Amino acid sequence: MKEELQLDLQAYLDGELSSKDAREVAARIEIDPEARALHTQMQQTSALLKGNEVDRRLPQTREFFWSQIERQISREEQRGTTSAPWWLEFLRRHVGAVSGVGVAAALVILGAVQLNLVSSDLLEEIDNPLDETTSFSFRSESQKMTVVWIANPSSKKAEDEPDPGEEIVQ
Amino acid sequence: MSLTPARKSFSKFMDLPRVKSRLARLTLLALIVCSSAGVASSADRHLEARLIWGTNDDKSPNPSHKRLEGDLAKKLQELPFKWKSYFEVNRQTFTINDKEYKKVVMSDKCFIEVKDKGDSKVTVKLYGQGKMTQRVDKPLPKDETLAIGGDDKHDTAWFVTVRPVEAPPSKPAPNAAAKK
Repeated sequence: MKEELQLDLQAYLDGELSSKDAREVAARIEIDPEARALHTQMQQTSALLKGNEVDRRLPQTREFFWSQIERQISREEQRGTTSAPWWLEFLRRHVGAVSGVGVAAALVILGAVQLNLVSSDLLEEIDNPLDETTSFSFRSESQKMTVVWIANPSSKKAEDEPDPGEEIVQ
Repeated sequence: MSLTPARKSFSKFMDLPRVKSRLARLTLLALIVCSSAGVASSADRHLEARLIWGTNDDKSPNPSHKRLEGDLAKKLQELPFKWKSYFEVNRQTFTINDKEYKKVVMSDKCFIEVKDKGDSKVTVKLYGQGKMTQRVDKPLPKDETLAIGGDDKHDTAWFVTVRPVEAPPSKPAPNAAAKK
């Protein structure tokens, strides 16, 4: 009972009771001498604590601590908004493997071309703009010569008809 | 998970601003290397073009034609062509660059245009009667020969050969020649 009374009085002093409960407690204090004595004792104790608390001060102000926290929050926010594009993230994860494979492939291709393992025919382009002629090419590796032969089917029909050969040599 | 020293250094390496600056530096370096390579490769190249007539006859009806000799004659003989004799109709030595086509007249009705494409590649356009009859893009390093040919009348053939040659010796200055 006394414990319950102490809790009620403590809540009454802290202003944590509803208006109805506060009126009940106030009425009890008026009629109950035990409640009145306890209430007085609690009031004095609270006043003593508030008036004689040692003032402890930190070397940094509260604004200092708050500015540190604020700075960290803004830094986290910036890191979130400026996320790297997807290709850069991919490179970051696979840069070692990709660069190694790329360098190896380049070296293989360069070596193949330099050692003539890859025929230079693969690198040539031949264009035959005339419809009435066809052309084909062949290469002699031993003679290091590429021959592009222009064939004109109509030159076989009649020797009287001019052919590209006559146009070129005469 | 705590960061080991290796992880910490790798994390520093892959920091976004550092990666961007490294990529920018590598790109700049690559551009400098490529441009210097481009400058180096843009020097003029010396080529030789010949108009050749192939026949099974021992002589050419045109007295101005010279019998083909030298390594080019040997190459054509080694190839599986049916013609026994080759005659040189015309020979031209010229230089090409990567800026514009060089026109080389081989006969009254035939000319070629040649351009350097870099990396030993050349483009050769063959014209007959003012019309382009063939275009060839191919690598043409030293000792390599390109021959464009076709049938001619009476079972003969014509060839236009293009190949690299050494630069001709430079002529002495007129003042130096006069002093001597």
